[in-house]
Amino acid sequence: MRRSLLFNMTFVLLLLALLPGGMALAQEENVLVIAIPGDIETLDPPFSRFQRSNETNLNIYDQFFRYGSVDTGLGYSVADTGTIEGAAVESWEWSEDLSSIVLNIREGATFNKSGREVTADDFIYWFERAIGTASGTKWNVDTANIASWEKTGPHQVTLQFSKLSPWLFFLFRDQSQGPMDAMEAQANVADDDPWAARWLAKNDVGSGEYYVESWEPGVAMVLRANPDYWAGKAFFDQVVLQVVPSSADRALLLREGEVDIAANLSTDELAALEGAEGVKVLTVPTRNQMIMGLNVTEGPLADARVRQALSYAVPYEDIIAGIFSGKAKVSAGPIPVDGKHHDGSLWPYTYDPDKARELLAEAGYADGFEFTLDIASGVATTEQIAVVLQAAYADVGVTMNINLQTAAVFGEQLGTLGHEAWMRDLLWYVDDPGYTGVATFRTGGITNWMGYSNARIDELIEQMNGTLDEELKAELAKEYQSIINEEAPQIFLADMPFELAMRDDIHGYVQLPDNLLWYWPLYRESMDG
Amino acid sequence: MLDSMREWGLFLLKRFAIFLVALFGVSVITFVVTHKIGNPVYLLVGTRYNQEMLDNIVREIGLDRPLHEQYLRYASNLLQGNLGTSRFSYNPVLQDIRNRLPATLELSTWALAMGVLWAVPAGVLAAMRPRGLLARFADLMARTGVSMPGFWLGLLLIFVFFAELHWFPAPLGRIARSIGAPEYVTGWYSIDTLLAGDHEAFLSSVSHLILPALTLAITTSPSTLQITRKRMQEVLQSDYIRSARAFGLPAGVVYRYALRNTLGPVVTMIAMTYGYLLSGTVLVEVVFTWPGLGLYAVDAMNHSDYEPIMGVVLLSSGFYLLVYLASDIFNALFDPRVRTEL
Repeated sequence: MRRSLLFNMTFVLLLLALLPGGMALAQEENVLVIAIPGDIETLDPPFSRFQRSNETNLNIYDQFFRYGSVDTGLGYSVADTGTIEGAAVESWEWSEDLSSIVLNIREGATFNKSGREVTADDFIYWFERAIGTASGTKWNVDTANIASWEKTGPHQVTLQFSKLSPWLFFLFRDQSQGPMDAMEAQANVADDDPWAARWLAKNDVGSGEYYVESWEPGVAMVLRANPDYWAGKAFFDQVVLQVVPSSADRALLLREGEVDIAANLSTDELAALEGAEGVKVLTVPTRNQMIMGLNVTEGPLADARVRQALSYAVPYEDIIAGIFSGKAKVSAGPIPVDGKHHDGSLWPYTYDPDKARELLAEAGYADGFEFTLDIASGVATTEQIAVVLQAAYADVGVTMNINLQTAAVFGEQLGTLGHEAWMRDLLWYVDDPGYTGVATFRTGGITNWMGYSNARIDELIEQMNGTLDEELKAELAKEYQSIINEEAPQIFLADMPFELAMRDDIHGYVQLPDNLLWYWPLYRESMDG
Repeated sequence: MLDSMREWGLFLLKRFAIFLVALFGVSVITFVVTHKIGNPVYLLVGTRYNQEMLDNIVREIGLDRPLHEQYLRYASNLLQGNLGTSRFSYNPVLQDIRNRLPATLELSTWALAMGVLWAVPAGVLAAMRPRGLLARFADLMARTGVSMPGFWLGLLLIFVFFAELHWFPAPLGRIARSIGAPEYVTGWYSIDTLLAGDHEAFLSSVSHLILPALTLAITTSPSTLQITRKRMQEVLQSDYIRSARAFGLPAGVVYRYALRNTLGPVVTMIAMTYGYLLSGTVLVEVVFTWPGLGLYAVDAMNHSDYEPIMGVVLLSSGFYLLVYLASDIFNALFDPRVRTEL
């Protein structure tokens, strides 16, 4: 007995001695703490519409596809929208005429909570739920021109398209496009809730890189890394999404090392953090445009010459230098500067108040006119730009009143064409001029909040979306940009960067087109070994 | 005896009637105002929707009905104790409020206790020696408290006591994350940790409480201090106190009489302060990441989520009115004239 005990102890001591120096039996976990401004709204991807829940859902559900990434050499990588990689869908095959696609679902991938294998049935349920809930995912299904879906094997689904689907991959890497555990969801339906929307708002049933370990509303959500994730377990075992509503607190906590990343800081706070010890601020170009939209259906703004005059009267460089500290770019047209087929040579506007006065006189407004710009309250950047524009327009005799509105009123008036003019940002996460065209400049487009309509533009958009020939699309995009620039239903003010402050030992950041933070590639240098 | 009971009965009946009418008024105003600040449907659908989706949500929420019909449905739910459901989290608002209320109650009560323990004695002593050092200090504190916005003072305290001196923990909620919430008994962490006999957790919860409570105490106590001081001065100069002094009553007895006659307006002011604290901690909760009703309301406002906003406003107003009611009853106990004044 005693000999046996002695043997066991010797064996344990030997084992301990053989362990690598830096490795302890109870190794400390790698924890990433992110300070976020507000609670996560919902864990149900189809109903996720705000940045926080979008980001959480991106990380806890495995999307159909994902983008590859390219190292910029500037301390971060960017998603390469030209490279599509499999995620929940491992591989795919198009039919010859591109009217259908076979999706091969990754075998062996399991749902985090139930441990059940992801199968074609879960994908079919996902499609049925998208249609049944009439949620944002239905819009993605419709916009991808998917006419039907069919299970063609235990791990295979075939999609049929009503017409060419140029944006399938772009739309189905979206955070809302991740299969969910159909059995779990169906087990939690109610008579008045056939799609378990209430239950899924609070419970995650994904197969993503992380899953929700605990959630104290208003305080913090703790995510735990999926140990069996098909691409390997994430570096950070735990991600803590700590709610810190005050941005001043978030900046202070980052500076003090209490949190690793501080989300949604103001431009001033980011500037103050630059150079702070142990902190770095990443500034990444994006396709997020700050736009002033003009209601073209009535009044002076219905005259293209007036809209051109307003475009000439914008002190673009002053805005870039004064408000964005030189970190933004002049948009130069309806396709963002870093967007596919952008052609800056077609952009006619520079700051030219004389030309603006001349055009106003030509349009019969030599003595100026008055209009109101509506902006949502609480967005510092739009307020600052509005003030600059107000002064610039006054200089050419135009009185622009600034009207601050609640987010709900502002949103409602966008949807009902209630604004005379509006200003907000629009992030083009699908890098395709045909997509932005369909949404914004096609007659009746979903974000055509200007009431703009031009038959030739509608035709060009249709043609761009009917081809996969990028050379042809580039040609069509030239004419498209020229017309939009000429007619100026929007004033393109700036392509804004995305800025994120973090501790300087956090690495692996990948900039996604929707500015969401992807936790899986992140790591801490000191622990990386 | 019978007269006195009738007087009390009538007094209480009138006060409850006023309470109910005021609550009804608050519910109407809150409902109309929230429904007039914009249609939240466009926020709910984001930028990926079509008309069918929009119509579905409008129907689901009931926004296709006339406003008065919507209110009647809301009021009928209210009478059944249903404050509605959050359109984002799908949580019943009552459940959310029940979860968040203890945090706000705990913070408000600590702040009130700190404020009263400082303001009432300081007011009394300042009245007794108007030119003394304490009176001057009380004056300075009152002016500082009145002129300093709570959120700014909160940030200042965080900067000094957390970032510079490291005396207090980071402003991250009610207790250290590594310790976690104690088992629910009262919902007040400072009590529940004690009941659990967990001293480390108790110290953590108290250390998280002190700065936000102090912020609120400093900014809300000046009115109590000033009214105590002013009322005490008036009472000390009144004829009956002068007579009592002339008759040679001991100073202690004189001051006891004076204090008793000072209490009425002071209690009312304390009640008002408590009512304010229960509904007015929003900015301090934001600054200290205190997961109470204020933070809940801010989140709801950011998303134009009507039901939680209306629920919080109604509850806060209800508190306010209840506290007033309690203070009226308390005053009526001490001063019979109050019972017949209404």
